[in-house]
Amino acid sequence: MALAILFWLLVWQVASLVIGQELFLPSPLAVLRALFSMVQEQVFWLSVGNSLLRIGLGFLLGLAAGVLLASFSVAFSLVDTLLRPLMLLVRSTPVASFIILALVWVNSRYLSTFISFLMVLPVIYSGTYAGLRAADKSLLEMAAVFHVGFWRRMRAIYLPALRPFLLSSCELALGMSWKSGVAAEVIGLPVGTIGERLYQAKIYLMMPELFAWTLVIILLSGLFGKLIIQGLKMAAKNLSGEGAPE
Amino acid sequence: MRDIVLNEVTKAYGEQTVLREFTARFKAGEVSALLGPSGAGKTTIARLVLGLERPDAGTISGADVRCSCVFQEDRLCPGLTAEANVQLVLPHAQWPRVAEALRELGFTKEDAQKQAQYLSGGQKRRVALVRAVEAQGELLVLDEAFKGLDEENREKAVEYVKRGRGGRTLLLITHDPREAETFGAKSMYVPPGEKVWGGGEETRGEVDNNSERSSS
Ligand SMILES: Nc1ncnc2c1ncn2[C@@H]1O[C@H](COP(=O)(O)OP(=O)(O)O)[C@@H](O)[C@H]1O
Ligand SMILES: [Mg+2]
Repeated sequence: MALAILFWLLVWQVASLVIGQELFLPSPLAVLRALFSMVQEQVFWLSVGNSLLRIGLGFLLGLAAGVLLASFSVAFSLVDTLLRPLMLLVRSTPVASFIILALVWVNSRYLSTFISFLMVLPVIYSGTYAGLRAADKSLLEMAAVFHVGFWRRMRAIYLPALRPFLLSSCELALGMSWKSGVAAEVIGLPVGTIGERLYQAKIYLMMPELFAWTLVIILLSGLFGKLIIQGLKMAAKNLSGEGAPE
Repeated sequence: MRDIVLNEVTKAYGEQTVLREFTARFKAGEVSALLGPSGAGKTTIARLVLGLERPDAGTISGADVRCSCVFQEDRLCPGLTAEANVQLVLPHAQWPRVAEALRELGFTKEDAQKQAQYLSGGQKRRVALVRAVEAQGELLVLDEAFKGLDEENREKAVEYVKRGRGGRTLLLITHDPREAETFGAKSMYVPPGEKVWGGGEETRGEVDNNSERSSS
């Protein structure tokens, strides 16, 4: 893996040397230099903080709403019937349409929160739905015969079934929330965000900065994702109690 | 407690009629055994009594009580320990006695703390048995509960069930007539196919006590 990355960095360096046009393809070294000067400015951390908070908030809201709505759908078939077309609609609407709509409807400040929420929601919803549905029917029957209570049933039967589904849909949703969130910022240009920085890098043709910001987004999205997945794994472990039902 | 009475119960799965006008009485507080070859419909009778299936015709009375059972499959939560699987069905106050019961059936402390998915077949069976016996209820249904246990463990388990049953009605499903005998059970034979059980008026509503019919 490390070797493969090194290989592609070399390819990149050679390509940029061959092209010899910083404007077209900056060299890895130029990008690194740009990154170093960027992190020394206050506006860098401000933009990172703003975007992280807003996109992260959108993700968490989408996660919570997705899990909740899917649980209701599994429990009540009426909710299931009602939500099905809505989720399909949200899932198949192009991000761009949502961004334009959101600009009309909501403050551009929380544009990326809204967009990241909408991208995450249907993914988490269908993952949770499938996970809860995958709960072992024979164990549920056992729980019914023995009058096992709601929370114990959740922990002992539903949670273990849900876990792998929820984790994989979270991983999917995490990438989507960052990509769509930053795209929304580039279009809506809320003040002091990564999207605004990206846009400025574009209009002033600061290619090394553009690349550096891209790198920052990838790293942020990766770190945020690690944190969320780790948190979920720990929560699941604590809830299921590794054995004890209470 | 009331007797559990199945009266002319008919049950079909799709095209296949498993029980046709099946009639039987399981006496309250006593042990009744259902014997018969595989596929005869014993598990189906258990599921009807437990309220997990509805009869297509006929009635079941006296079964609307709290039940516990050993399913034909173990039905343990794979990620929970042996002990936690039993605790799952018990109120908090009764948890302490779970360890004791497991030890009685030959579980070491370590084995009682193993997740069910890592237990041997015989161990799983015994956990399911402890779960059924320790749980509350007026009716205990054991569907081939002693299957797959070696001689020593089987004896321990039978003793444990006899003692742990208390005054509960016990419905014992088995292939083995001797097992029914050790429980002093009233045995009835469930014939394979769609045969009408009972037939004559005089036997209807009674448990067949003729264990010769049970040698399949
Ligand atoms: N859920 C079901 N769907 C279809 N067929 C079933 C189902 N449950 C049982 N059967 C059929 O009913 C018959 C009786 O099954 P069962 O009651 O399990 O017999 P036994 O416990 O005596 O071996 C079998 O032929 C079985 O295949
Ligand atoms: Mg059976």
